[in-house]
Formats: sequence, structure tokens, C-alpha cells
Amino acid sequence: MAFQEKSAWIMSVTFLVGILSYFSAVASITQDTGVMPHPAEVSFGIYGYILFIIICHIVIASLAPKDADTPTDERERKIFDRASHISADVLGIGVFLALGFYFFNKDGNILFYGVFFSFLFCQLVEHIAQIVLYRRAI
Amino acid sequence: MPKKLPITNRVRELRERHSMTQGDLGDAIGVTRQTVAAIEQGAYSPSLESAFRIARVFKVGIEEVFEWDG
Repeated sequence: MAFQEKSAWIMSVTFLVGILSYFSAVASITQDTGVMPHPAEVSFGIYGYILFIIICHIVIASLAPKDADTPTDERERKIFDRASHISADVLGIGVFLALGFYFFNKDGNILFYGVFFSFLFCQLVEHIAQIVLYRRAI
Repeated sequence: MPKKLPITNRVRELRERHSMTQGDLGDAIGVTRQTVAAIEQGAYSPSLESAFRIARVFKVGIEEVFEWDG
């Protein structure tokens, strides 16, 4: 398996866990307090999450240093371009929905969480699309 | 099993005839071993530049390596 594909697997799993953890925390606080928390109040996990992703990449790079040093080739660039295109569509739809929701509810926190979720979800979709494209004809 | 593209090739046959590994061929034409494997399986059609590089490595014409089979 190519280093970039391993990286896509790690990013997919960590993004999925990250999204579920983050929004579970937001939902839990909202349920306890009856008010949606300000985004700054639930930023604590993000730093640990970023550190975890960096550590994962260092581990897979140290297991196969030659693969990690290999620059992306033409097929991988094509895969990344297509995955990025799909991801951009998902982000656009998510932001559009978040803006629409804000338009009717006038709640800035929901707008923030909507856009933030769209950003995280589009990254997840991008990595999943990379994995799928690595395994099929392009 | 990835779907097949309309271009067939003899890369595996020529590579084995030249006693090269997928990694050797990948290094020679500037792609990864995984991309050479995808080309051999018919799951990826290389760029024109890479196709010419492959033919040049095997010292044959490009039409002896790749064929349209659509």
C-alpha cells in the first residue's frame, strides 16, 4: 500500500473519530446547559487531535521511510485532484445549508458549527474518495 | 477488482522479459511501484510521456507496448 493511501486511511479514521467526538461534546454540553456552547468553549480537543494526527504520520513514515520520501506521481496527482473536486462540492453544499439555516434561525453558533462541520466532513469525504480512487480504475 | 480501461498493454510481459521488478520500472520512468502495478492490471492508463518512457526503457515502439482495445 502506498504511503499516501496509508495516510488517507489514517486521516479518514481520525477525522471520523474527531467529528464524532467533537460534536458529541457539543451535543452533551447543549443538553446539560440548554444552550449551545460558544465555539471557544469546546476548542480544547482540537489541539490534542492535531498532535495525534502528526504522531500517526511520524509513525507510518518511520515504518516505511523510502515510501514517505517518494514524491507523488501522475496517478496520485490525478487521484488527489478528483478527490479534491468531490470534497469541494461537499463543502459548498454544507456551507450553503449552514448559511440557509442561519438565514432562518439567526443563530451565529449554529452557523459556526454548520460551517465547521462542513469543513471537517468535506475533509473526511476527500480522504475516503482517495481510498476509493486508489482501488479503482481512473 | 478494478474495472478495466480500453487500453491494454504488455508492460508485465516486457518487464519480466527484461528481469525488472515493478519498483525498478517505476524508478526508471518516475512513478511509484503501485502505479506500475495499476498500469499492468489495466486500472490506470499512463500519461503519454510515461507511455513513451516505458517504451524507451524496453527499447521498443510505443505501439508494441500499448494497444487500443475499446
